[in-house]
Amino acid sequence: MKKTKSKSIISKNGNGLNMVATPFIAAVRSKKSKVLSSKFSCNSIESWDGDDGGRG
Amino acid sequence: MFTDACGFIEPTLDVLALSITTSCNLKCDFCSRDAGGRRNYLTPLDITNILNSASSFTNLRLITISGGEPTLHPNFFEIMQAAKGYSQKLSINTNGTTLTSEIIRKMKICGVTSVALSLDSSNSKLHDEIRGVDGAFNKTLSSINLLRKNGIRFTLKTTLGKKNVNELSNLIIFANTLGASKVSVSRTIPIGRAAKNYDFIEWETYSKSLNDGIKIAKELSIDLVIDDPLKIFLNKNSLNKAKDALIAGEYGGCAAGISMAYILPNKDVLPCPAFPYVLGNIEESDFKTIWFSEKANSIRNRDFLKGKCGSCQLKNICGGCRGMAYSLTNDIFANDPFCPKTV
Repeated sequence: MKKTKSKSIISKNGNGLNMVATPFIAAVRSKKSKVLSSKFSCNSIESWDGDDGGRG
Repeated sequence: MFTDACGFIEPTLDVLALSITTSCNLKCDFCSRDAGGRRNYLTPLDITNILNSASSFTNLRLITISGGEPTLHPNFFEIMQAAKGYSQKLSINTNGTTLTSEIIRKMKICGVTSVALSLDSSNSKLHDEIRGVDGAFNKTLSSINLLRKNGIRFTLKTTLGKKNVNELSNLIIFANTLGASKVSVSRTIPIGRAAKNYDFIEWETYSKSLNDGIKIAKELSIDLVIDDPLKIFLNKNSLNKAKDALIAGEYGGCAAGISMAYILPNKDVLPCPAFPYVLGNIEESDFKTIWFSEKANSIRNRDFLKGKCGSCQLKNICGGCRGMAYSLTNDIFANDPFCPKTV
């Protein structure tokens, strides 16, 4: 019987237990930079500043 | 220890908000500071010390001076002078009832780049009711006219509560006619005086108001800034954008203690105006020491979140409002009780 590929990423932690992470989480954890994006953050500079990006 | 985990977000400190006084001439329902009672002030020297410490490790994008009502500070001009030059932009957050030509002239001298004014409804009676003082609405409109005459850009800030949750669309239309650069909206967090008057809004009512507001703002081409980490759950489009950003490795949501800090007149350092979790006091340590303390680092780690927020796949792009969680549960890592997501 042909094996189908799992969509989940399975790894083993130090205790030998399988840890299942979705590709969604795995993608996030592979990134090194962990700086808050002002586009998605609350109370960013855009909240307080009157700059309208050139709308005038 | 707090910085090792994958949920730790780097503290960049872009926005530093300085609450320079507890004095206020209004009695707003939702005031997070319960301002107007015992008077405390930050002095110009305090401002210099704080900003010297902050600028030793970061390039601030914005300093915003708030209160209470900041223009009631007896040394407001000196405060603005002290803050000048420490950030790319300098903003004043005022209720808009006290501005005069002379104050605006001094703002310009001190390099104030924009003013954020509070307006909670386009209906004068409702605004005055929420603000607790008759005539507040008309005074704010007079201030707006003065700002326009002097070419200072302004944002209208509104806090949605039970009384005005359905007012947002009309307020955006009104803001557009007034020439506002943008409307910035947040939800009432039950702290300060708001804890005494708090009346929980249903998510359905709140999200409908915001979604209607988004449509109107788009039609009018006016910016609408939603100050709420839960904004990603407003509609399919916002949710998909958040998921795409997360996959691209972006972090977002609650900025408390990450890209934002707030300093009270008694010199307590908070992560955010809506999050009354004291990280330290400037009398006891300098700002930099407080900012990089273990206590501060702990709130930057999304791996510590509990409950629904802890198990949510979107926690790195949201994290819930830590102020809301803390104010209702006394636990800084609890889930945001307002979150609409069903697990």
